[in-house]
Amino acid sequence: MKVLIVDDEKLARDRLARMVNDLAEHEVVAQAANGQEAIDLAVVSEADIVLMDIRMPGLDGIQAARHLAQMEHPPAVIFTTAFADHALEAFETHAVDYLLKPVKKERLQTALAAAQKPTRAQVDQTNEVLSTLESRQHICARVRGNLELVKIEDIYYFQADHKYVTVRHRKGQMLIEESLKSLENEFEGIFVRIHRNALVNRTYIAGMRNQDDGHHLLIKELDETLEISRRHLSPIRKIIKKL
Amino acid sequence: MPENIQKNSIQPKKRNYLPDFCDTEVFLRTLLVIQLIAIVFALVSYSGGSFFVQWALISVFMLWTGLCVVTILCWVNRQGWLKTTLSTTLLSIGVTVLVTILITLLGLVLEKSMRLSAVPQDLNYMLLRNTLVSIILIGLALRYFYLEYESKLILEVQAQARLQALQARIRPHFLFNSMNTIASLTHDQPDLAEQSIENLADLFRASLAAESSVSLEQEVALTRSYIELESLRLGDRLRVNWHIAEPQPEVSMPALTLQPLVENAIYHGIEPIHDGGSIDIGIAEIGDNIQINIANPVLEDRSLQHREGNQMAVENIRERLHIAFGGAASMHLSEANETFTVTIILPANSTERA
Repeated sequence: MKVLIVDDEKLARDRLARMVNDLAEHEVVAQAANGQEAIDLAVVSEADIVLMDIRMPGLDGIQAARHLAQMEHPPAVIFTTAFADHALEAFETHAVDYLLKPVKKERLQTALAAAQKPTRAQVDQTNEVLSTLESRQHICARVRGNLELVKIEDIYYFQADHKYVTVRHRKGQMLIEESLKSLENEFEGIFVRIHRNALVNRTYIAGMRNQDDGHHLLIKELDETLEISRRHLSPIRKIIKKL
Repeated sequence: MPENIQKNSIQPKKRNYLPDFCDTEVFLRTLLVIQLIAIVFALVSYSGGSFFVQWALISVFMLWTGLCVVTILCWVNRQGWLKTTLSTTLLSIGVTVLVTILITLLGLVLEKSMRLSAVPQDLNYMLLRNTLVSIILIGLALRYFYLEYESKLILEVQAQARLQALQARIRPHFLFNSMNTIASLTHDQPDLAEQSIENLADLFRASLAAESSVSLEQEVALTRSYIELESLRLGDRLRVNWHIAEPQPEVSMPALTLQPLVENAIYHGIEPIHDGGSIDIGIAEIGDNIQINIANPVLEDRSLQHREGNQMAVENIRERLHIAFGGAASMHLSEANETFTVTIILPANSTERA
């Protein structure tokens, strides 16, 4: 199996890599030093298993795992950590595996042997467990081959169009493959539904305009307006009144 | 760290320095001491006649005064009026003087009506004498209570310091990550692994050591051992610049003052940043003081802020500096130009108090 190792400490990566390579049936295909690299390399290397450190600068292991769960064929994630902190309690009750550093050879062997490419249902379940630990602080997408991370607070709105969702943010826009419904659930309180096809960040709501073809939402910093459907008009009115 | 530790200052202890007079044992002991003083007074002033009558008179007077003062202080304390040292002292003296005057007057009235003494007493003389004696006695008592309270406080802080130093050292992530580093090194670089174990041992030894005071030189050496360990773990991400004045200033200081602050700087200023950064440690002699600065970069994006702070460590270092040097040492935290700086000022020429 192809293994991706993620840890911000080089010596920690070295040790794991050596141990994994000693096991005949596994092979280290890539190493990443932080969450962002991990997401990037997981796709490129087509890894089956990711050994993921939890505490890392920037995007931490849990956040990175949540992004991996959005992949079409996500790898199995095994967390590694130096100390049993609160995250592990959540893992113990669910099927998410973890290893304590310094990792023992036998333990690593069993964990790798048990790891299979998870089914979609398993991934979704894992993602749900992880979401109880941390809600995502970024949305990530591949833009022209590069991985781009956008902070939630920099996003103006999400707009669904057929299979994709457009993420309109301060530096432009990008497409993601998540459902509007799941985004609405995850970022409840930050984003509000204004139409069957759109969620808007509350902090960027500037006001509304009544036109011939219906009501339109004005968005701060943007010239664009978004259509508000009749069903969502009254809650949006309330929000605007409080501005 | 910036947010977490900047708020702190030494809080005045809520408890005042008086013992709890409402406590039966304290109450009885106080009465016993008063009785002993009464015997001393009776012996000193004895000039013939019945010793027991004299002792009884003095004893009755003092016991009534003492009883009233202790009862009133117990009540006042329960009302929560004795918050600061000054108010406690003034109120205690005030109560004592007032009670003394009242009991003296009462005593004179009783004496007159019962004709206990053959010689009529001079009112002004009696009042003046009794007030003076009571002020001196309450003064001595308060001083005693204060010293007792202070020494208890110092013991508490020191015990706490040892515990915290131990806990701080065994910051579990640091310990297990270091172990992991060593496990990794054992294979390819056994010499480095050996050296790391020695450094780790130094740190544990310092944490467990009984002596509370070390030289600046020792503290710097310990900090260097610690940085070596972290450098192995963090690689290029950790850069440390030492700026030590030549010749290196000599001063003794509480153990584990510099090292935990550098640990904080790495934990909050380097670890959360992908490319790491530089930590600047400066030691300079300025006039009669030694100034130690520890500066680390501040994370621009606070959403990526490193978890919980280590306010305990900072608060504890502050308290230990206070115990060691009194008001002569100080510690400031400041943030400017994306740099967080901790500054410690130690008196160069004074030796530690504790």
